[in-house]
Amino acid sequence: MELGRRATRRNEHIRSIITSIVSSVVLALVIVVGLKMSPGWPRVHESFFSGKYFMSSLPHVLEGLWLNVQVLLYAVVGVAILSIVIALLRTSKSAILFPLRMLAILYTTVMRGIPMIVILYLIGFGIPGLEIFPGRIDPAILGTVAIILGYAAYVAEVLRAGLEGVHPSQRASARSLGLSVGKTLRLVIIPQALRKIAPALMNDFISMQKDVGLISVLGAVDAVRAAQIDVAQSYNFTPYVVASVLFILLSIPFIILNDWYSDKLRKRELSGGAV
Amino acid sequence: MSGIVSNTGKSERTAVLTVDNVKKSYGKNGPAVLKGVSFEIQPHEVVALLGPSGSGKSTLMKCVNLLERVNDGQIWLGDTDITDPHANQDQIRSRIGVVFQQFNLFPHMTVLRNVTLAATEVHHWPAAKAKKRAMELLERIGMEQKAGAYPDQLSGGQQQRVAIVRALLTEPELLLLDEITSALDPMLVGEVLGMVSEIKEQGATILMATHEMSFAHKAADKVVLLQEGVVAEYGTPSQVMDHSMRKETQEFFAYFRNLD
Repeated sequence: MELGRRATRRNEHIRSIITSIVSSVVLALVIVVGLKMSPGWPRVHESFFSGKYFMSSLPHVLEGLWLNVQVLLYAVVGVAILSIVIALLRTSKSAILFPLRMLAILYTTVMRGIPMIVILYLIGFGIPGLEIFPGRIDPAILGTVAIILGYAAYVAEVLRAGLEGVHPSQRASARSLGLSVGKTLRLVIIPQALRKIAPALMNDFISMQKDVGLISVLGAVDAVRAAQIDVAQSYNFTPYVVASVLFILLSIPFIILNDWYSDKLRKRELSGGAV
Repeated sequence: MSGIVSNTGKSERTAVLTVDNVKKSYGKNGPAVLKGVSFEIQPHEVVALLGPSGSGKSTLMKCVNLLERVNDGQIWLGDTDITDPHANQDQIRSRIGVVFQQFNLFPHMTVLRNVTLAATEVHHWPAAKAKKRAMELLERIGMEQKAGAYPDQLSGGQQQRVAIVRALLTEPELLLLDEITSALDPMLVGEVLGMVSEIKEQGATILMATHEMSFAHKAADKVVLLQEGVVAEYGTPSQVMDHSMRKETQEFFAYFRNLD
């Protein structure tokens, strides 16, 4: 009887594998055949997936992508600093910080309401208009500032949730040991908050990684802008696909890292938390 | 260095802790939680703070620990008026060891780092000295093997014993134990109370809020019974718990005797 049950279980297992393979193949066929049968496919194929234009625009777009990577690195540092300041202000309780606390609330509310591209326009064309700084400001710098200002609002809110999620008795314990307010934050509260919100932060990072492509609207020659220039010369849209592929490749390591870390946290929580 | 606790009393005032007519209410017009509480703790004394929930026990503990500010009255730690608004609060806190009901340890730090944190960050001990002392104390409670473990890998009783070691490492003048067994599995209460008895033997000065009546009876030198924000009884365990003529006191302890 036991052998019979084993055989049945094995059959069920094999059948489920076969079913999933068949359904995947059917779906892929529907998509491919659907695309190929559409009347405009030959033209779309030529203007978006042309091997010739792919290779010719790759060096330009790749060069532009380097600018995106640089902007991203600066933006990460800027967002980290600004968002920590905003989050600490929002969670502070001292009376003297009241006006700054209100400002922080106003900032996160307003900034999260404005579309990213509008923030870019406002900063990109507004700051030079003030004529505080002499000469022409590099659009890549203006774009970086805009990305920092926009993303700091989101990240500050995530950080605030993390700071408030640390059990209040952790603060009491730290203060009881004689640790100052600053050391309590730095050694006890912030490390625990970061651990809790790491997946959410990585998600914001991945999202920021592609939004650095928006700085092209200010005229900075990044990957998107480089693709645009090639498109304008050839009337072939393949360079945009090149840019997309590069952005996807850039994000994949972090997406994998994020999935791995979230999974690890989830397992740790399932296996029993702290008393 | 023979025991877990240092017993070098050096202050001129004889009492380690003097609570003098302390009053406290929460908010501007909130009800008074402490309505003029006074008592003293002499060196090497263990004082048990008893009382029903809402009697003001934890508020008093928070005031002694400077987590709350008193509205009126004074609390002296040796010769220092810790209720003076100009007093250096961090410095005073570093002279008092505290263990709470739960969530004492920092989950992102190892046992060793938890224990040595205040020594290195507040008292500026060299890391080697802090580590050596920490390992001595952990060895004494049989937990030197767990020095590299994280708090969530320990049982609740082990966590509380590590928390006591952490509070004792820098040899505080006073140890505050705030219902340290209330969140524990009954099986684990014994090991923690056993450790409290041991540090009492070595001469620690302890104020402990607790619901463990039989432990208070056995281990405390003095008992303070708080009821509705005032000291209803103050004396030896036998005076307060067995021979009080006061009706409310008798009723309070009779309730716990019925539980045992």
